[in-house]
Amino acid sequence: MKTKTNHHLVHIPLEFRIACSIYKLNPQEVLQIFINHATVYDSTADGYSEGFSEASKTIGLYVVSRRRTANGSHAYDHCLESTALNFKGIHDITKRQIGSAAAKRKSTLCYINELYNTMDRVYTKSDTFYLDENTTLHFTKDFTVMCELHNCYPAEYLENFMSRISLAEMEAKTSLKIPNDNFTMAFFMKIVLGFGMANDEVPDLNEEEIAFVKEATELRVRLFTIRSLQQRKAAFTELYHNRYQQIIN
Amino acid sequence: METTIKINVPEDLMSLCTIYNIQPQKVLECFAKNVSFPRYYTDVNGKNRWATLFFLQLLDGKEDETETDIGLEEHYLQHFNDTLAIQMEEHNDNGVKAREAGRNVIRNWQKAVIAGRAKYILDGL
Repeated sequence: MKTKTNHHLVHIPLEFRIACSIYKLNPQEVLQIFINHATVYDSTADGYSEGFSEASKTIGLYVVSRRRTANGSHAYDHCLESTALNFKGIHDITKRQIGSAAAKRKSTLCYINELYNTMDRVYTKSDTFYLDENTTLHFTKDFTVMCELHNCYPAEYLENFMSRISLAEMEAKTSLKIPNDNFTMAFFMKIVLGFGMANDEVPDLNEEEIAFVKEATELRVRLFTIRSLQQRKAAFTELYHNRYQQIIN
Repeated sequence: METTIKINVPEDLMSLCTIYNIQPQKVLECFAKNVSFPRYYTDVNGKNRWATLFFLQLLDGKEDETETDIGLEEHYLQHFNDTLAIQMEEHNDNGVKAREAGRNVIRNWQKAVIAGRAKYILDGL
């Protein structure tokens, strides 16, 4: 029997929970920062804009891997002509030689508004998403348009984003000096350092946390004799899992 | 093995040695005695772990100009880890047997490295 996925629920993976709790971040806040930085403009623009490029290209990569739009976007079936014109408008802006990325992103908003107003909502019933009873995420028009355009549920984008976050993997790769092409993780680490946060003060560490930092530092050195990525990742996973257990107990 | 080394004792170390009346030679001997993979990896939280940690950090920070044979390194480190794991599992002797077995692996690694270098020189003849 085929089980039906509930697209109004989002599953928060353990690795993501761990990464957030280690750095004292609220998962809801991280997801909201991701949503706020995913734009149609940055999905197509060539240059790099801190945060925007990572968030938008995380979605781009997912969309390419799914290939859902062979028959076009369902939401825009009824207004192909105006949709095409709006996308051409956005495309022309991305190709403009002059103007800052921020200014160009802003000028795409009139097209985004148009796209937002004309679409038949299929995948995004509302702009508010309940993570649980008390926490909500707010979808931007850009984000909603990107869901409808690629025939994807918002929960898919969020889950895909979270699935790319793993401290253990990052640590293992960094320590083995393996180039890390996971830009989503790089985006997460920017948030850790205050990017997009309302309050970017780095919290003070208590005694237990200092002990953990020391333990982690020593482990990084000790793992020298382990040269396999998988084994190293396993060792870091264990370190972070144990710490997470400590935090939640 | 005894060897003569000539080193520049920096001011900060020299001052401390004078204050506490310790010969710099003694400090380095003490350090040298504690740099040991077999001992460190059979007791990673032991109180003498710092010298090896220092050495490991040095290895981690080194660039590739030391021309380490990566193939040999990977092979022998894996062998070293496996040997320690097996010995620690089999003997409940605080790692005594494991240390000796681990030391043997490192000896063989050293032999392989020397053989490799000798081959390089001889081939050049």
